[in-house]
Amino acid sequence: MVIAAGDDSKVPAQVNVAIPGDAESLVAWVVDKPTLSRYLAAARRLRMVTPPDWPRIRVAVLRNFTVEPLDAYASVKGAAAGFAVDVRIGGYDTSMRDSLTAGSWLFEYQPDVVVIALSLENLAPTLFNRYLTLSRSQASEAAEQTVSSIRRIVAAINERTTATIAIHNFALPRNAPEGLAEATSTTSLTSRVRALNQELGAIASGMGNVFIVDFERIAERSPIDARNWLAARAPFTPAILEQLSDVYARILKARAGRSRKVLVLDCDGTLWGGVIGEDHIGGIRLGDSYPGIAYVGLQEAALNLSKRGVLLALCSANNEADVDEVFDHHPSMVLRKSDISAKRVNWTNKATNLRAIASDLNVGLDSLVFVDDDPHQCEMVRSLLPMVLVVQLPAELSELRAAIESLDCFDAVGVTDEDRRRVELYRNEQARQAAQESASTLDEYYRSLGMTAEVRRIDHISATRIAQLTQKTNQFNLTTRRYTTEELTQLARQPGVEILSIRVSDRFGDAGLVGVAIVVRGADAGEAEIDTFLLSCRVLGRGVEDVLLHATAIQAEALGYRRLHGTYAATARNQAVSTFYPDHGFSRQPGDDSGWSLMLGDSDPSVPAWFASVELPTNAQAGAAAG
Amino acid sequence: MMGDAEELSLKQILAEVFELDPSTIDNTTSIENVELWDSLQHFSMIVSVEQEFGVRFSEDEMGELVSYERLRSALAAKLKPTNGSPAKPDGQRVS
Repeated sequence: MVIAAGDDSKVPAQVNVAIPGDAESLVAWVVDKPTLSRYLAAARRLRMVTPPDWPRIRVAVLRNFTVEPLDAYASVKGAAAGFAVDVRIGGYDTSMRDSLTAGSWLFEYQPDVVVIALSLENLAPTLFNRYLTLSRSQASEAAEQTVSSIRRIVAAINERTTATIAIHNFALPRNAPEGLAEATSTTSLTSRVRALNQELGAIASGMGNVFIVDFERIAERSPIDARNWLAARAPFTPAILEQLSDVYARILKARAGRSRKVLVLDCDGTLWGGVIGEDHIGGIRLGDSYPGIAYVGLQEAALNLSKRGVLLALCSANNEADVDEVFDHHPSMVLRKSDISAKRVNWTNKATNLRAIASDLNVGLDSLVFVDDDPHQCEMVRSLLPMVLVVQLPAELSELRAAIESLDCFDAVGVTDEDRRRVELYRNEQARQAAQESASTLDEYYRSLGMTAEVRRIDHISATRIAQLTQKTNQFNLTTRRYTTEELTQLARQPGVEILSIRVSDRFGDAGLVGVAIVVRGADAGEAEIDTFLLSCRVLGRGVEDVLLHATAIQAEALGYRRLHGTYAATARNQAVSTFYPDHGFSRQPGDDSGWSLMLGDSDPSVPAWFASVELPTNAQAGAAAG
Repeated sequence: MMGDAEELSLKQILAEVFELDPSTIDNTTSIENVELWDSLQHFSMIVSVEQEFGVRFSEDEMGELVSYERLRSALAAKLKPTNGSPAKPDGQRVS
């Protein structure tokens, strides 16, 4: 196809105000809508606005077909990683001449990266297009020539530069020239191309600076555009351009030593389904069939990464003994304790824990990848530690394994001996330190959540859920008293009794009914006994318990009580709340070793300032009960 | 059929590919008078329009759509609902 273009007065480049004016906004603009036209426009503007202090990477492309839109994609993807990428594309069939000539543009340019993007169809047209007309030996010879020319190009570049080299391997034939026999014949074109790609891999594997861009795989996933290939030798679709430039960006990051080093894993909902503190070792989902097999898959992916040199760490809000039990005794656990280089299994916030893990392993926070299923935890880490790469697991269990396997930030992991020594130290429990997250930053984060809480009295709708919470809550549960719906309904009718529940929601959505407090008449007149105080582990660490305690105190006062009394009944799973009452202003009274007391009225527990709104029950029963 | 929104998107694509101010694009805008509209960018423009609107131009159309006016009317024909169904998202033409 020929497009005639006249030479008379033309409209020169103009300013399009719809396109952002700085590098970061340009990248965001393309990410928001990754179309070819946006890449082209953003790449042009990037040339003008890329900050001068960004590392400049010169990329030379040797090619034998139309690759042009690749420069725009590489520039934008490079900018997303903080590189100022400058792309220069060679002539259509000059790769051999350019690389074998000392003074060619290629060497004048002093490239940091050389991409070798050659189409087999153009490089060896007879082999690719008339394969069956060739004898076996002719075909072998053509294949050998192809590999040897690429080998010569690579050798020539290595001789004259220290550039990183990225070789595109070849797409398989789009159709099968030998029909059904294509897959059975070891001498078919498909087999031949596969063998060629293996030879290219062998070239790369012998040298540390040579990568293979797996175009075979990309073209399988996203076929080339046959129309544009025939009409303009321009086979790349936007989908192919995306994938190729992703690979380039990986190579740029790997050669700059910007790969990450540590995979930090949450436990509940990540390594297994369910909550170990609630469901116990027999109740968590982990095993040979759905849904447990999905978590096995995630663990296998993590184990494979560890064999590539990625360090694994645990960061989870659990009792450490519960997690240890799963690692030691669950038959379907893939990961062993010896695979874990650092861990923080406790009730401290995860931002603080991640800092501690980075410090244990002697790596920067920008070496960490944090994996969690809980959007709150993910958002908190994103907002407090923006240099940590946060992976929020997808809701579909079938995507768990891929969420780990598709991470593209672990290429060329290099961990020094010093790092490994630090890991040993940690294993010996000698390197535990605590970092203190500044309260003001956490406050700001909580404030940004726009949390609302609503405390209500029990009614026939909430009774079932309240009973369920008393049945299954183990960790944040002061007394662990179990009730049925029927028992609760009867209890609620007794004088002086108040059964409260709390619902919370925030900008992520409604967490539902997540906490229960039950107040009954105490030992002395005027004393309210906190019979039950519990919170679902879904909302721990956000001050919800403070709101519930506040509401409990207010309601007890309204009932005419003058004092609150609370006890802690230790179980195997509720150590986290052993000091809950003294931590909240309650004190020991002489002669009372079983619990803690709080005088109502003067220093009632307060509501954390970060709650956007708190709704308490109306005090219809004020003064009715305490007698 | 082309609504105002579609027309704006189309102009924005041309503006992005050919580095133009979208408000200056009209029926007279063509390969004859736009500096950056060469055969290479022409392909990028075609692919961008296909990507945006989920349509596919034929080999013949590829060579003919060298002005905003022609592009606009070819696209309008593809976006025209047939039997109440819009162009298929995979870019197949509805016939």
